Amino acid sequence: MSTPYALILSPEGRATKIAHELTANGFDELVHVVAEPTVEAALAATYSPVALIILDCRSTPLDDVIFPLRKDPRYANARILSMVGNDGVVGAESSLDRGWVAAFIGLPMTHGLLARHCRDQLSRWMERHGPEPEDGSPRPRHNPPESDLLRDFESSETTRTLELITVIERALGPRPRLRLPAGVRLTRQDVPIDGVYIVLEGEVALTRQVGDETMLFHQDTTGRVVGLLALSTGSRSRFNSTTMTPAVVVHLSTYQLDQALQLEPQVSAILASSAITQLSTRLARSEHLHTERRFLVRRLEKERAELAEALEQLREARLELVTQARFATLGELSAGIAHELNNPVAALIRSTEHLVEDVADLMVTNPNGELIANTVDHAANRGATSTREDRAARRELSRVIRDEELAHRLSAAGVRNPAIAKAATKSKKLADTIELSAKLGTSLRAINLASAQITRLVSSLRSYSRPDETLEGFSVNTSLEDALHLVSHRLRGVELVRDYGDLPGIRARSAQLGQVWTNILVNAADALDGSGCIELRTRRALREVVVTITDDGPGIPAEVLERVFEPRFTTKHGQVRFGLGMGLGIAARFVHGHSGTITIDSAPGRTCVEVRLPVNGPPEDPTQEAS
Amino acid sequence: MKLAIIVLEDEPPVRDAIARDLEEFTGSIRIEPAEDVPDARDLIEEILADGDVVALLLADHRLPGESGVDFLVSTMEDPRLAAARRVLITGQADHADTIRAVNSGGLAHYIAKPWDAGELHAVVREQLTTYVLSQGLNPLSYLQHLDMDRAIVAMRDFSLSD
Repeated sequence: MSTPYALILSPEGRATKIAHELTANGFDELVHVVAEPTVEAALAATYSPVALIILDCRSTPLDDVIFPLRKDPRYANARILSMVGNDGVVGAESSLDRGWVAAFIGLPMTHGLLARHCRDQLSRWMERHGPEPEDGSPRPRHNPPESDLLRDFESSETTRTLELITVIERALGPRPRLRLPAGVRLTRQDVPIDGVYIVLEGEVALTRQVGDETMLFHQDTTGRVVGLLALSTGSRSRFNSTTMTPAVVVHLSTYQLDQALQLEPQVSAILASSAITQLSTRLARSEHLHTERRFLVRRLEKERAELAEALEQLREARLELVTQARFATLGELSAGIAHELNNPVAALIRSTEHLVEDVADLMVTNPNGELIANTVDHAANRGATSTREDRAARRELSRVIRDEELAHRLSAAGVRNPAIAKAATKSKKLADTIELSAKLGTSLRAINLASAQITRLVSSLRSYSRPDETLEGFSVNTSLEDALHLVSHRLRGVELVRDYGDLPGIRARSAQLGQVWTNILVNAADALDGSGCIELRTRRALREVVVTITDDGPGIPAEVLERVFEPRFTTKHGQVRFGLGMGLGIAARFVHGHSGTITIDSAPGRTCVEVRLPVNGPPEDPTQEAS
Repeated sequence: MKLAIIVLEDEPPVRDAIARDLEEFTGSIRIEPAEDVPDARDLIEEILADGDVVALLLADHRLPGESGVDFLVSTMEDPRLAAARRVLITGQADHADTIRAVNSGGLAHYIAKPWDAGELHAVVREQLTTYVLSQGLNPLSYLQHLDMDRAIVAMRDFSLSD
């Protein structure tokens, strides 16, 4: 390889002086010393290889000079020395950030200093970029440091320890080797240190009792001089130092160490470097543990979040199960009640009819029998009227018989017929008889109406009492009517429009479909809140039956609409309203169980739920989930 | 001048049953059934136009449209009805509604369905008496329908102030 170059870059014209400084100290025997006045000139030149660049650009920002040089491959590896005046360095941030300046040399400088710097930098350059030796051995290392401390940093711990013992024995004479088994404590936690141990062979672990736990702090990273750090801070030992394996150690009391230090100055350098190395190793380990801890904390947070989520899902699932269990119980209860009600209802209806017959028979003997019978009959079988109509009728009676008091009494009793009212004016006794008869008829009417209502409710409930049963020839229209009855108390004030098509009987689970209509109707009723209109339409389509239930309520907002069939979704916060209205999630499940579809369309003023059910019903599978 | 009792109940058999239970309150008392709140409001106008007064509002809570409690609360604003006695006769008023009826609806009494006829009579009698006395009316005109002890005491004061 050719001789490397040292390039002096000095725009301010001091190149000659610098070159002279180098040559006077024999540096030109190692390199060619050349100079250029500007960066451009340097780049234009053809020197190669360039080992050193000496910059003397005190009035230019260094970055402006260094950057272009480094870009050129010929100068990319050169070591840069920068001459710096008293006013300091300007504009070197980026170069420093990239570590491109090897040394700063303060001016004015003493003779020979620059040359020595250059020699040192040259040897470093040679180590990294110099020619490979022909025999294949590694490049020679740069000049080793001359100071003890820096030299010790570069040697291994074993070398250092041996060197230490050698030097100490030189000062104090031979030191006895102590051979120890495992388990011997060299220092004790929180106990003052009286000396150090130099560990020649074996492993020592550093432990500390923290709370009721013994924590291991170091084992592999324990230094060779045990007790050194505590000694350096003049304090108690932080750790228990215990031999983990059979060990060979040398003990030095504080006095002996002090003697050694005075007799052999080298000892202090070795101990200092040992201490510094130990500390930096421990620090590195601590930093590593710190990083690890942060990582673990983050993982822990993530797991906690996942667990919280899982817990929430479990809670919801449990709530749904509880709700379903309630429904199942209600189904059983209502089945039981329905059966129980049959008897009293039957008794009621039969007894009422018997009553009517007996009264009729009784009246045959009465002179006014016919009038009484007519009045009873008239009062019992009159149609439903509003209270407004009742008042109008009363005023009419009052006008006809010209007795407001009597008209009021007769009207209250249930008389609407002016002819009967007129008959009452003939005598007080007759008036009393007519009034009593009318009241009898009105009571009968009330009984009949109430019994009919109970019968309807019982029959509607029956559809819930056999949840799993699949019926052939099931009538969708009838089941809709049943559902309407069950929900009727919520539909007061709501107009119902029915458009029932001619439907075939389908295969279906009556309790489930009943629940579907009920849920839809309850939602509609809640939306309408006492006023509005619900339209129920059924029609046949090829192999399906299509049921649409439309209400003209305020509608369902878009964000709610997309979730409305989710299994646990309800806008009523999971409240069980006596077995009804548990949400469209259940309705959807039942419909899908029938191989049907359910869709919902909503805008303010029109919400429409459409259910399509195949005529052939759900698959035959007996293990399929029922309610 | 008759004292009107308005029976506000939407189910016909129940309405008839209440009216029937109150049939002894005749003569100077008029029992007027209404099936919903708009009907009740019209009824109030008719009664007042006849020169009578509304002494007692006997209302169910669950009605089509406006509820019984809402109706009672709304009548508190009408000076002509300020003195009327208000009673709920219902099976379907929840806690919140009942509190509202008491605090904002001037509720004097609450009868739970199904009602006991004896209780109904006693409550109506008591409320009519309170109305008559609070309005400074002559108890004599309505004596057979009032609470005898209170009425007699009031009559003594009445004749004294004549």
